Amino acid sequence: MSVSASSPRDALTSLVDELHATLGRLALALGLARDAFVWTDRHGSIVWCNAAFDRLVRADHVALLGEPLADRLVLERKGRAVTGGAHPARRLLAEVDALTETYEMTAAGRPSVVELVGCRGVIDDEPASVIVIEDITERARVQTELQALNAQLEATNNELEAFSYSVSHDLRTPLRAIDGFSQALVEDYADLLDDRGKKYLERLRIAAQNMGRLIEDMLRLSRVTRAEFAWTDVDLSALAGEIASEVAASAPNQDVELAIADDLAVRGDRSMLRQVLWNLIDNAWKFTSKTPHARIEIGARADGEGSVFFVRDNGAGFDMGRADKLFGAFQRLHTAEEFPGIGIGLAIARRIVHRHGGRIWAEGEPGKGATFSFTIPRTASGLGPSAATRSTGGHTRQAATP
Amino acid sequence: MNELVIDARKTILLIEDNPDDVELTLRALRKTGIDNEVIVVRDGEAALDLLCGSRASADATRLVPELILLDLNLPRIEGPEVLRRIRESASTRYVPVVVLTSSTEDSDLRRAYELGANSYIQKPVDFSKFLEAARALSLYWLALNVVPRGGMPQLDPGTPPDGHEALPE
Repeated sequence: MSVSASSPRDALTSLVDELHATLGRLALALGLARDAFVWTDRHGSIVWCNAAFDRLVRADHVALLGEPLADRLVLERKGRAVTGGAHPARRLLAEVDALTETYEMTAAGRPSVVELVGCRGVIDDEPASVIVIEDITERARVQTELQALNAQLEATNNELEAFSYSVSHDLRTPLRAIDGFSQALVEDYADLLDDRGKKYLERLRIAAQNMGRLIEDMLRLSRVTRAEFAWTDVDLSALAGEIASEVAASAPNQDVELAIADDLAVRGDRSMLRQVLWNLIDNAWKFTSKTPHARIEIGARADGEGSVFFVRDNGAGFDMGRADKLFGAFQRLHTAEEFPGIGIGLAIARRIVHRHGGRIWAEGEPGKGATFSFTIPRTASGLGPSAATRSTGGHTRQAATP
Repeated sequence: MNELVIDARKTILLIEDNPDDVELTLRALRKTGIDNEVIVVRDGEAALDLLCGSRASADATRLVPELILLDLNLPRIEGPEVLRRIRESASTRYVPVVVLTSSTEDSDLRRAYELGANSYIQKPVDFSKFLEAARALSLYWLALNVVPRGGMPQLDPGTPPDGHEALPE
């Protein structure tokens, strides 16, 4: 504000004009605001309120001025009316300096849930209060729904856990009997069995053991869904290096040229990502088992919002036309000849990548090699661990974790 | 070299409810060369009666085996509970318990160790794998301590490293 070398009168006029302008701006903004604003004096009588407040309590603006706020703002908690000294308008002047509280009320004629944020102050040397009221009916409804869904999810999860456990145990028990007693037959009745008989029993054992492996796979897959997510920084380069050493150690006759990019980093669940990398790197080793000058490359390239991580090999490759079967959980038996030893690893990898909110895909060419790629979004897209919500009624609730 | 000899006097208690598993476990023990007496109890409650004598019976009827094979998945009283009570009872507190389970969940194994199991065998579908596990188990828990021929070897502790005192003679 500039004060020119003019009379005090001019200065005063200037000041008043400025105040008018400021008030005008404020009035405009408050008139537009969706939240209801109300000011009271030391007695709790309404000194001023905005249009949203008028609508909230369905009253004429002029009629409200001077009225006790506690009488005009009718609030309830769990169906019981909040009256007398318990009313926030009274408490704000008598007991507390500030409050953030949730109430039920009939707002603009509709049953609603509102959040009151109020504070006490001093205006013109006089105690005063201001309360801002936000309609959070929608938010409260979503919250309740979310809690119900969460409870449902937890119940389902628990059921699934119990089911997997008993399935595993109850299915495996008779398989043990089939395998064990077939072996007993071969051993104890060898003289009564010809070669064909012994072969049949051998096939019984193989079938039982195959089923045992299938059950094992099913359990591993279900464990991925059930497992708790632990969000942390993961050094993928180091992890890939560790895994490559392990895999290489289990295939000592294979000579593989390995290239791992530095600075591969991501945020996610370390043990789950380890499984993904393990499955991809182990597969790459298998795909190159018959390749001279085998080369496996682990790296990343930038793409849109994040990085695309890949494991590339120059091995046997695969026919892209059959690629859709690669990630299928139980397609394994059909593709055993084409992709021997691949098993359920890719289905598990896919489920983990999806839990991180990412995508996984494969490209390959017979005889040329294959590239398995996956993305892990940088931001928690809500598919990962819980995202906190704002407080309502003094409590903080967690959003559902799928 | 020590020869590992199975102490045939050691009694084994097998607590297992499934009749097929009982027979296969007995077979595996036999095939491993264990001719020890194996007492089979199909029920956790009966096992505890036998071990801790919950009936008002004299101490003479209490069984104190040298090795307990315990199936984790028992009807009525659960395996882990039986284990807990075995460890609570003074007479059986130090008996080695090997837990048999078809579960591959870490939490089950951890709980078994927390409750005092000495070892576990994860019951595999493949009987030959079970045989291997039974062999390893028996060599460990049932071995008879035999002094090697030629007596105990003399150990030379050697020169202590700098700053350390020599061991007493």
